[in-house]
Parts: sequence; C-alpha cells; structure tokens
Amino acid sequence: MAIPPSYRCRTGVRHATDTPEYYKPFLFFHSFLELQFRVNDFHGLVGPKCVFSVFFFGTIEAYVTTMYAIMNAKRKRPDTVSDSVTEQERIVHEVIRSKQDMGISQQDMKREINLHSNLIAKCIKSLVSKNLIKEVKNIHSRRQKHYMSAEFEPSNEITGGAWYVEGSLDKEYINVLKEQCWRKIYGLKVATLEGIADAIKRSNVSQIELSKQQVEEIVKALVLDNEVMEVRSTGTGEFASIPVGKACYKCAGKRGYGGEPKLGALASIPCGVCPQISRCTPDGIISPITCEYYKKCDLIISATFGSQVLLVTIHCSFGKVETSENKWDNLPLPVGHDTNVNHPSTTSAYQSLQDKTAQGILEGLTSRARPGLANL
Amino acid sequence: MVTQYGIKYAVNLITAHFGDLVAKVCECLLRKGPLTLQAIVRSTELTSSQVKNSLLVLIQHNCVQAFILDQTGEHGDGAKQSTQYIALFDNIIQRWRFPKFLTMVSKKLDKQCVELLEGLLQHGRLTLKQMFDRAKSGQNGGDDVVQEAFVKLLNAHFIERCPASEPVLTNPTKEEEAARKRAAKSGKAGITSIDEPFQLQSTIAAIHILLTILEVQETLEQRVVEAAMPTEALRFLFAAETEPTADGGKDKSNSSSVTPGEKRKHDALESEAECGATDEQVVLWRANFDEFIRHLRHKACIENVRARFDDGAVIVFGAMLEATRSAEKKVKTENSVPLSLSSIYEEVIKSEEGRNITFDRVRASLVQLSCPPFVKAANESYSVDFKKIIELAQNEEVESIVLKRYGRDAYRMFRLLSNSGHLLETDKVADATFVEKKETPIILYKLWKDDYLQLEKLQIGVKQIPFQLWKVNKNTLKVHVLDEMFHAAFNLSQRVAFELEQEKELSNVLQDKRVNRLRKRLLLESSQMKLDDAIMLFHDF
Repeated sequence: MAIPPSYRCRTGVRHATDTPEYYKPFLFFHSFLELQFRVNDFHGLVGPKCVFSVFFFGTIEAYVTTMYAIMNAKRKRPDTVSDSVTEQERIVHEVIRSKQDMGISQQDMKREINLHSNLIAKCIKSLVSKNLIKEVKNIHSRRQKHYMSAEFEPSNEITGGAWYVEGSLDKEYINVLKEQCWRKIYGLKVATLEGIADAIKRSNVSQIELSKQQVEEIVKALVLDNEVMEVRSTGTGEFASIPVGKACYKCAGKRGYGGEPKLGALASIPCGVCPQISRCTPDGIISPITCEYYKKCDLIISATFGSQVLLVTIHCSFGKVETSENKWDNLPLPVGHDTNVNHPSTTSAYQSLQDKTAQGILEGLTSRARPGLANL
Repeated sequence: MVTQYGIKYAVNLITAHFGDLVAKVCECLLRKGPLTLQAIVRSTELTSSQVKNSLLVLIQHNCVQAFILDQTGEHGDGAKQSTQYIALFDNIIQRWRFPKFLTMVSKKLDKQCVELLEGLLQHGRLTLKQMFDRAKSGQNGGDDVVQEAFVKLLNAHFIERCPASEPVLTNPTKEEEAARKRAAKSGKAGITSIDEPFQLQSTIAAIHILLTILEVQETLEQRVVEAAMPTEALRFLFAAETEPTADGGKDKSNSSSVTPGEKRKHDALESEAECGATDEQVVLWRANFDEFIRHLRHKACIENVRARFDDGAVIVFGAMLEATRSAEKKVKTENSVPLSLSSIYEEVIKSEEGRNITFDRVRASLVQLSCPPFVKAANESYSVDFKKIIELAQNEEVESIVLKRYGRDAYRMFRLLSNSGHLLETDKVADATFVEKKETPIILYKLWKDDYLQLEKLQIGVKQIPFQLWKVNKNTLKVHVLDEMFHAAFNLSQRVAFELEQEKELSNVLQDKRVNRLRKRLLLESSQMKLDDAIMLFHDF
C-alpha cells in the first residue's frame, strides 16, 4: 500500500505538494497531531475513528496514512481504487465493479471470491462507508442485499423498470393509470395510442410524464384484462378519422370498468372450479356423492334456455367465498317446471324410458318392421 | 371428439335409458372401436343373444350403426366381408338434448309437431303408420292432424329418413391410411384403445396419442355415417304414394316433396329401392339431429352477438342467419353464404322486431359487426364468420375457468399466451401482465401442472439456469377442457341421481324439506343443461 507523502511536522509545516484536501485541517494543529493510523499488522482494519493524539516536540517525521475521508470528501478517481483500501477490499470492489449495472449479491460474491464470508461482509461494509459501492434493490431477490459499484446506475433488469418502486411493483399507481386510460378510451369511443397518450398528458393524471411505450404497456394490460380490445381501423364508420390498418382500441363489451367477464358454464358449477376434479371418481374418496362443495354450496344458477330465464345463479362457498342473498327458501321454482314439454329437465317426457329395461324395449321392437336388422 | 370422460358420460346416459346390459355393449364399442358380433361377445363376456338384443336396441335408437367392411384380400385372396358395428358417440350424447329439441319445436311449430317428435325421440325410429297408431292410442288427433304435423316437421328438416341399415365400405381411403400410420407410430408402446393413453404419466403426451387414435376412428365413423346417409334428394322426401296410410290406401293428394319435378322424385324412389330401405315398402323416420344442432349453433352465435352489440345489430345478424340456414351443407360450416345488403334488408324487415329498421341502420349494424369480425364484407356482400364467433366463445369459456380457478393474474397471463400464439419467457410474461417477477413462475407452474400451459426449457451455457418458455396449445387444451366438461357433466348426473334417491327417502318427511330437495335437484338439472351448451360449443359446433 502506498504511503502518502510524509510531513515534517514542526512549528513550520511543510506541505506536500499533492496533499489531499482532507489533510489540510491537520496542518493547523501543531501541538496535537491527530493521526489516523492504519494498522496493517493486525488482522483487519482498526476502524475509521482510530485517532491518536500525539504530542510531538521537535521535529517530527510522521507518516500519515489515511483510510477514510475525514470530511467525507468524494474521491474522484474511478479508475483505480483508493490506495487506502486493503487488498481484500480491492478484490471485492473489483468483483462488484465487473458486474457493472447488474451488481451482485453477497452470496454470489462468496462463490466468485475465495474469501471467508465474514471477511467479505466487512469489506463490503468498509467499501459502502467509503462510498465506493452502494446497496441497490433487486426485484428478483428482495431478501438478499445487492451491491453495485458507485459509478453505475442499476439496470431495469434488477430494478424492474419504471413500474417498480423499492423493488416492489407499484400496483396502486398502475391501477390508477389503467382506470384513467380506460376512461379516455371510453370517452373517445375509438382511440389510437397517440390519442390516449395525449389525453392522459392533458389530464395530468400522472405527475411523471409517461412515455408512449409506458402508455402502450398500460393499454396492453387493459387488453389482457378484457376491458379493452385492440382492433384495426377500416377507415370507415367510427374509424373514419384513423388511417386504414392502424391499431386502435375500444372498450370491450357492455360492462363498465372493472366488471367481471361473463361467467362460463363450467366455471359456474362446483366441478368447474374444483382443484380436486382430476381425483374425483364415482367410487373414490372424492366423489360427486360425497362432495363437500355440493353439500355446502348455496346453489343459484344463472341460465337461460330460450326465453325461459330460470332465475337462479350458482355460487359456491368453497375457496373464494361468495355470499348470496338468494337462499334456497326464497328461490322461485323454474318456470314451467311441472310441464314436461317446456321444462328443460332430463326427466321430462322420458320418465317412461328410464324405467324401461332393454328387454321391454326389445319386445316393442319385435312387433315392428326392422328392415336390415334381420341379420342379427 | 371422444375423451375418457366422454365415454363415461355416454355410458352413463345409456345406462340410465336402457339399463346395464345395453350400456355394457355400448361401452365395449366406444372403447374398442368397431367390432363384429363375435368380437363383442368375447369382449363383454355376455351371451350372443344378449349382445344381439342390445345391438338391436342401440341401432333402433340410432346409437350404433352397422356396416359391412369389404376388405380386398392380400396376396390375391378373395374379398372378405364382415358386418361390424360402430358406436355413434355424437348421437348418444344427443339424447341429453331431447328436451331442448322439443322446446325448439314448440316455439317454431305447434303442439302436434311436438307430440309427434316426442314419439320419434322416445322410440328412436318409426314408420308413418306407427306414428298414426301412437297418436290414436294417445288420443292426439286423427291421421290428418298427424300427417300435417309430419309434413311441417319434414319441411323444417327436423325429421329425416333413417340411414341404410348396412352400407358397404371398401378399402380405407388415403387419409385413413395416413392417420392409421400416424397412430401406429404413436402407438409403438402398444397403445390400441382409448383408455391406455390416460395411463401415461404425462397428460399432454396422452392427449397427443389420443388425438392420433381418435383421428383414425373419426375418419372411419365419418365414412360409415356418410355411406349410410340417404342422398340429399331422398333424405327429406315424403312420397305419399309409397307410404301406406292407416286405412291401407294411398292418398295421392297429400304428397309433399322437397325436390321439384316428378322425374327426379322417381329417380330418388328408385335409388331408395336400391338402398334396400323400402324392401317392404316401409320407410322409417327419425329426428334429424343435425338440424337441431344447427339451430342451437345459430342461437349460441346470436347470444354471443347480443353480449357485445346493441339490439339492432342482433336483429340484423339474426336475419342473416335465417336467410342462409337452408343453404348450409353441414353443421360446422365456417362461413355463411354471402348476402347482398339489399337481401339482408329484406330479411330484416320480415321479422316483427326488424320492421322499423331503416336501410342505413342495417348498413351501420353490418359495420359494427365487422369488429370483432363476426361478419366479413367482400365485394359488397356479407357473410357470417361462424368459425371466428365459435372460437371467441370457446376462448371466453376457457378464460372464465382460468379466472375462477386461478385468479386475475393467471387470467391475464393465460390471455397473453393464448393471444400471442408462441413461446414467451417468464420475465416477459411478468412485464406484460404487471405481476411481481417472483410470483409469476408460481402462477405459471400451477397452470402448467393442470395442463393449461406447455412448458419448454432453454439451456444457454452449462452453468446458467435454463430459461423457461411458456405457451398455450389450443388444440390439446380444447380436448382437455372438453374432457373436464364431460367429467363435470358426469358428476352432475351422478349427483342428480343421488338427490332423486334422497327425495324418495324423504317422501314421508315435511313438505318444506321435500320442496327444498326438489328445488335443489331442479337447479342441478338446469346447470346440466347450461353445461351441455358449453359441451356443444366445444364438441358439436
């Protein structure tokens, strides 16, 4: 380790020509010389605040070396580590710097450097206090600390990009933007990305100016939520003001923002959402007969069959509990349930068939002409 | 598409309607494919007469079709002919929809038509004389009334002539051979029946093999059904001269034919004789399931349009379907016949709700319907894109399952992967869906574990963690979801049966409890009907 230029400390002080700034305060104290020693002989560093007050009489030659900036002066020599860092610190710093804007975690450092983890931790602490490295958040591993050389800015890959704050996705902000974009599209009926971006900008929804790419990301998320659909302009009708073939967006369906998409048939019954359906068998432990979901659920089915609305909707009380005000007792019977023809029931018109055996049917068959079946 | 639970569901239906013996024979045919009588006897371990009687019942009710396979022998051997029997899965699951068919007819036609159709559905197939006899015994009107209802049903194509009893099939086509070779390649482990793929550990691998096996079977089933079907000219032909009426006489004044021209009718009758269907001058009639499914398909499309557009667009769309229905050659038509704007307008103003709609309003509605592209415009004519509408409805159904089962974040991820159609890396998915990067792989793994996603790993460098790439495979997913629907339908039917038993046991209990039980059972049956709509969306439409 290079030793800084020495002083002849006496009543007359001789300045070294390349005295760093932080040496200068020393020069005013003649009697008491505050020295910071780095003790190389010991295992590790003594610490930044190791100050010795020494009385010197006469001519003193003192070799002053400093490890830490007394006044927190920034060292602007990025290419080389300060001469005051130890060999281990230098190694650690080189490894961190080699990762540039991606940084590295302490765990990964241990794999790359053949040093004891305690030593690495101390080096890191020392480097951080000297502002040679900094701690950054990594969205891929939030629990582990991630370090980067001070001259770099963390990349989007570890910060997550514009939508991440402190390593977490800023969902509230994203949801606000999504709703506002939807409202702009709703107001415009049909909108291009540029139109939406302009509308957002004019309304000052976001204090930070959103780039076109960010607006596009929000709009595409709305498409994935099925709130908005992407279409191509035909140049006619509602697309008259938009060039033919240009991508534009309009609100999907008739429901408002945040409404649930239409519930499918399979999703509206217990089996459709049951996580155990693959294990369900008629004779198994999990079976339709023993099913707890069928026992517990309040069944309200919404179904339409032709013009007959059967006035009921299925909710199931497992998993996400959905409460229903329409309990069993208050439900009206389906329209026409007593009429064999109109009620879409399997028992309608075929009750007699269910009671028939094959033999009974066969007796009916033998009395009729059966062309072509005579070979059987 | 016949899946594992599809078979269980179909067998459950047959058991409920015809008993265990018939169900056993049906299950054997569904699982093992077409078999001869002897092979069925061996597989089911039933007696020959039991199998024969069961087959009679199944054929009567259009659940099984017999056919003669004409195999040209190898090495110059003589041709071999054997009668085989194939289960018609589509027809079996139609039995669940009989109440819907009756409701449809009750709205479009009258009560007599409903009663006539009810008889055909109950008995599978009947001659006109048998229909008259049935009407007399039930005091449902005289022969004139029955014949009038019969003609109405025939003109609407809700009933048709029964297919040939034993059509002859020659050597397999090139497509069938190619499908058979693909199945053989996939089945190198010796998988020959539908059950075996599901014993594999990987469900996706099982589905791939199943798809290949089913391809072979479906090709043969299609050929058998097409070979048995009467020609289009004959299928809805009612020549009263050849039909013995109740009094045994012939009534020339009541003839009704869908084919113009006497010569063509004469030719059709001649070909009918060649088919052997009129050996005894007796024509059997049955319900035409295709027409009912077509109506239900149109209804589903209209409901889809209603969910997205205003009433005007719904009326215009409905009018287009009405105008083009008769021109559809098959149920799963991808596009309707193109119509001009003026033709559409004429059709719109025919209906009561469309009477006051202006020409410009019709044009504006057609523009509306082009986004999403439910209606395509080309050369000043418009056609309905059924394929797109059905595809969107299927996507919504699957997305609804994902939303309810796995949550909103999973819903967004699934939609992203489904819309993109290609592999996406985990972080890309997280960025696009605004989900924390640490939570994203957890959600994706859940979807993958339940076979809603495919996962591929990409290793770059020896020491680096492999990239995980995700994708939605729509074909395999469709089969998987359909199987889940059949499973749910099967479960519901089991539960309904259980509730019925409970109701019987409660016959001595308080009225309130019995009413509650009844309500619960009816609600379960209603949900069965709704689930069946979804099954049609994936299987029949």
